[in-house]
Amino acid sequence: MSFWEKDYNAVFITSFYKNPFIHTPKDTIDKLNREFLLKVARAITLTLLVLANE
Amino acid sequence: MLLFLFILLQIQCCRSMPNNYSKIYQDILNKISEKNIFNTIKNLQAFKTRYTLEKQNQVAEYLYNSLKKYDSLNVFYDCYEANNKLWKNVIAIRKGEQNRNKVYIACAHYDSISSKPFIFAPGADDNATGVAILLEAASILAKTRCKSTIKFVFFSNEEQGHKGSKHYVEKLKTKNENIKGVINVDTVGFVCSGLFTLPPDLKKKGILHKVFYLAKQIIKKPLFYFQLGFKNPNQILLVAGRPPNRFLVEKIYSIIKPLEVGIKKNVGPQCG
Repeated sequence: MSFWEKDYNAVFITSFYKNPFIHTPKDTIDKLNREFLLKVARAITLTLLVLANE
Repeated sequence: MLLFLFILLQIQCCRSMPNNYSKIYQDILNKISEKNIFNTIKNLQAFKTRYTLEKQNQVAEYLYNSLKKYDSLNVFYDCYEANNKLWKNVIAIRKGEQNRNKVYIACAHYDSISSKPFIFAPGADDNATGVAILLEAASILAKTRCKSTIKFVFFSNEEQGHKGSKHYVEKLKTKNENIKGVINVDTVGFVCSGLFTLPPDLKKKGILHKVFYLAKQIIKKPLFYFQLGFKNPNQILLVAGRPPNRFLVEKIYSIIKPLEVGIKKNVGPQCG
């Protein structure tokens, strides 16, 4: 990640190590997990909300 | 006696939810729309590929217009030259109301790649998911009070040598801004188990060691991380940082923990 190379305090959030379709024409929307995505969205939005209001 | 029991019950109730966020935060989180997130992913996939200059510019315009709807966001293109072509990152800034100079960056790459990159590279998971989540977060935070500044940055050309993010970071370094933390969201929509290819000595070890092994293989840098299990053991999210900046990883865990989604932390082995 470019931010790590310049020593920024950065985190990388992913679950890509689990998806066998990455970088293939089969990486399509029908294979995504809606429940999981919503949880991740909640987690990231809350993180930004809290950090920006400390 | 009844009064005593009532008070005791109240105390127990309070103890059972010590980590709950305020109603304001809960209300904000309830506004997150699964439908919006999926519509964005569907729209990004509809470009067929996000690999070529022409397609990436179309996607950049789509993102720009999506963010421009919110008056509180300052939206603009961050252009750079590569291979004699002009490429665009898209930036939306939500200025802080008290500590403007304290900045957090939330970023995701919007381009895609596949074995047929010029014809079909849908990139639904990689990385329409990250873009869709940050668009939704931006739409919500645009309407919410923020003391500090949040920059939402959408990068081009990640799949072609991280050109977009390298350009942005090099420029950022010259500005001497007070960047408190960066959150990069990349490929966060797939849940499945049993797909790893692991060396034999790791097969018997726990999921934590497997995740760590794979993350190290892919990221190829010393890192530490925690894994969030969302009740279902197959729903695992990796939050990785690099030494010596463990602070932000721990901070994110402490923020997310009180969410009522069954999150549990497994702190991975520190390396490097």
